[in-house]
Amino acid sequence: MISYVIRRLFMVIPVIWGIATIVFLLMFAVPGDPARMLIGQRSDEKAEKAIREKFKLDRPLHVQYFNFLGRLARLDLGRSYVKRIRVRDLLLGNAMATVKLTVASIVMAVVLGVTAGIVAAYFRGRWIDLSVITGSVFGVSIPIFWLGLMLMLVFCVYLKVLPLPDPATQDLKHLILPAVTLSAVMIGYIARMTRASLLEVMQQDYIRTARAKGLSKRVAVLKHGVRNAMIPIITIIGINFAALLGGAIATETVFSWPGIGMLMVRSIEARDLPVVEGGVVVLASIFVIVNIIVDVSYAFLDPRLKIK
Amino acid sequence: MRTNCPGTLLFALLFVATLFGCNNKVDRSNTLVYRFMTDPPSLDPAHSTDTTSATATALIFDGLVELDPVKLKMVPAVAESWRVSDDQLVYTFHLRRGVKFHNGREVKADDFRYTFERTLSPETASERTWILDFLKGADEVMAGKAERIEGVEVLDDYTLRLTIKEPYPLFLQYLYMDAANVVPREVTEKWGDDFVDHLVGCGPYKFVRWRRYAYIELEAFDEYYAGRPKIDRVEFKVIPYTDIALLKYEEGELDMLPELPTGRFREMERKHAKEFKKWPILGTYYIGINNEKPPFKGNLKLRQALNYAVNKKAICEAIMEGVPTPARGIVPPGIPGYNPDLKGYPYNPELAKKLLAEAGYPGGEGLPVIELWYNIDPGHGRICIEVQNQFKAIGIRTRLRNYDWGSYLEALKAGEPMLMRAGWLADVPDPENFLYVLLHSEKIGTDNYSRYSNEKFDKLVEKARFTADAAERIALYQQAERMVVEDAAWIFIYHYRDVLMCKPYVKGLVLPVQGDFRIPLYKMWLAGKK
Repeated sequence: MISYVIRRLFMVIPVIWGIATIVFLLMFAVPGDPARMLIGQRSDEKAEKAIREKFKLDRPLHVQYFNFLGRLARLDLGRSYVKRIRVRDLLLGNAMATVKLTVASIVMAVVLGVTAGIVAAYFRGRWIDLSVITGSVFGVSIPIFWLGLMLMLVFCVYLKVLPLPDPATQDLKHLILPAVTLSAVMIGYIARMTRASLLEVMQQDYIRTARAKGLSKRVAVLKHGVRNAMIPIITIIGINFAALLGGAIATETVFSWPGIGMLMVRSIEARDLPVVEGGVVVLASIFVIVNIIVDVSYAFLDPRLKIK
Repeated sequence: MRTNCPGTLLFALLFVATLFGCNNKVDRSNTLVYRFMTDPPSLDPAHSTDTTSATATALIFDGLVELDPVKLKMVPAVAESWRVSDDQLVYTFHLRRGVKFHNGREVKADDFRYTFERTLSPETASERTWILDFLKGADEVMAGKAERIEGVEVLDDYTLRLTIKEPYPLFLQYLYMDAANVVPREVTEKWGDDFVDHLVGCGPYKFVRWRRYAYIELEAFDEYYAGRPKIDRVEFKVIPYTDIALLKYEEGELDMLPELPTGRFREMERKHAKEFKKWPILGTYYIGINNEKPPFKGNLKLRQALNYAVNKKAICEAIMEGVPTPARGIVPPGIPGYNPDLKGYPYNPELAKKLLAEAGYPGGEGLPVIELWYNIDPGHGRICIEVQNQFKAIGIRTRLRNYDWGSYLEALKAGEPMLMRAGWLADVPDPENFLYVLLHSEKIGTDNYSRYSNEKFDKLVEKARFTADAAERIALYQQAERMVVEDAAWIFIYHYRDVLMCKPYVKGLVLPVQGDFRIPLYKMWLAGKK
């Protein structure tokens, strides 16, 4: 198991290198000169020249690329062109907000989605099943931006049971609505996958045998069925984690949530290359590690699957 | 799945703990809460390039002089007096004694020398070196050939002499801009680029903390030379979504709200008449015509037809809800030299059609589809759609293209668009800041987006720039402006007015013509905030 994990971690390196290279090239392909963006509307050629020299933007592309790789190898993400502070410090400063939002959203999505899927499968064909299916379609279809605004209107303005977003605070009360907004899509996917997977498992012989031996439906489903249905659900969670990180951008903007998503969007707009490159490398690394965790978890869920 | 990993449990506990945080109730009755739409790029005065940064840096830092926001006259700041030599080349400043930095050290003349050298130094790579590059020896420092600026002399601890390369009437005004605000050497050298997280100035407020994309906190400086501000703390909160900011303002969580959402001005004016503020500022909104591209190049009648086809009044009333005022020229009201007698191009679709025909395109026939570019923004989009409709009414077909700001700026400087939406707010209250910066031919490829080139105009502006006599300068600038208006180099849309919501318990509010970012927040006080 450990050797498998170590092997997978080593594979992160070429993946990150590939992603970093693509982002590096994309940022150069996109129109918009970082030095000119910093200067703004009132141009100043001497100042532009000084900025290019300071940030080595006057070097040929391949020299800039190798400088970038060299820094990456030393785990040095460089300094933001705009903020002038270390990219590492910028990301760390915003990371906790995103971690809170993402963790809360995943927990909410897994708990609500799996529960809804189990209930739907258990009461297949009844109104509760139809409600869950309809709700899950709503969840996967709804634009995050709109959902966030509507939730704010209802809970913060009309009912006044939750506070309006405040960039200075990321406590529980302020976390509820952004987490619900962000998890909505994932809840829908997880509920549908759980229902489908569990329905398939419930058709298996061992479940019929268990029922024939006198085990109640509830115990047969919850004790035996759910665990065996979890593998595809775990896969969905891993895949949707990336979508979650992407959805965090819209959620963070609507809720003034000072996370990495907002940082990335603003940095792309400002052509702040080190922040974009550093942010993408960090997010990609997190995503790859999450997928390793997902793969390893299969062995715990299904002892037949051995990690080699 | 069982876990017996103590690390997981500890992480979970810490995570939950952060969600509850510290619920200490802080008395906020003397805290001003102000909304920012975006996080400022930098609070280091050498890198302050935008109005958001300027709002905060104005509280943390001070310079030799200040611009009175209403009278638009230079007034003493850290310098208590100054004199200018007869040849307009030498400025001698006498500093107040006892002005303190926030770390307790006294501000001396040498601190200004250091500050100017820091701003011009290639190591700093300041975006605003143009503020100081009139100083004698500035070019050598910027090129890395010298460390000392020849034109900056410290005569004694409280006397600073600045010599400029040639007489330039606006030099004093440049000195109040952020990049000329004094900083302490021992702090900037200790922290380097990390100075932005350890800001020390001599302004009315001390820097407390800056959480990026969240908030900035400042607290009153007890030893401020002009007297401790009455408001204890200022918080700038970054709330990008304007409708949310409006909700927070109405719930009492914000005290001042600039940058109201377009489309809600009249509603806010109706609902909160006493709190809704509207005032003219020094800015002009226009659609530039690419004077180098066909079909506009050399076709005056076509450019004039475009101007007569646009109903500026309707744009101001219907789309901008009566906030700005229609423009007849370039220089906005409030700037010395504003010409109220300019005729401009009042809306006249019949005349527009006639001129279009005389330009060789009767009814728009033969005229290629005109592309109108703008940067992505709902307000700009509405205005450009309206202009498109107005052009259509006289037979001109228009295609709209929009881009994010970075791509748009690149395209503007490369001269790509045929027509381009643009706007300009004055750096200094002088016609030079419009006519020279935006229309002189040497600015083609930089800020002269419409690529207007007129030798007579250039000569007038060059002469005016260095003319000391105010009346003569104004006459020259007005002559130059008339030339551009007659040439229809732009479609002149409107002059800006700023809007702001401010709670009634916020007292001492002054509305400066430069815009909300120049509101002297440190002179205000709160009466009855709960």
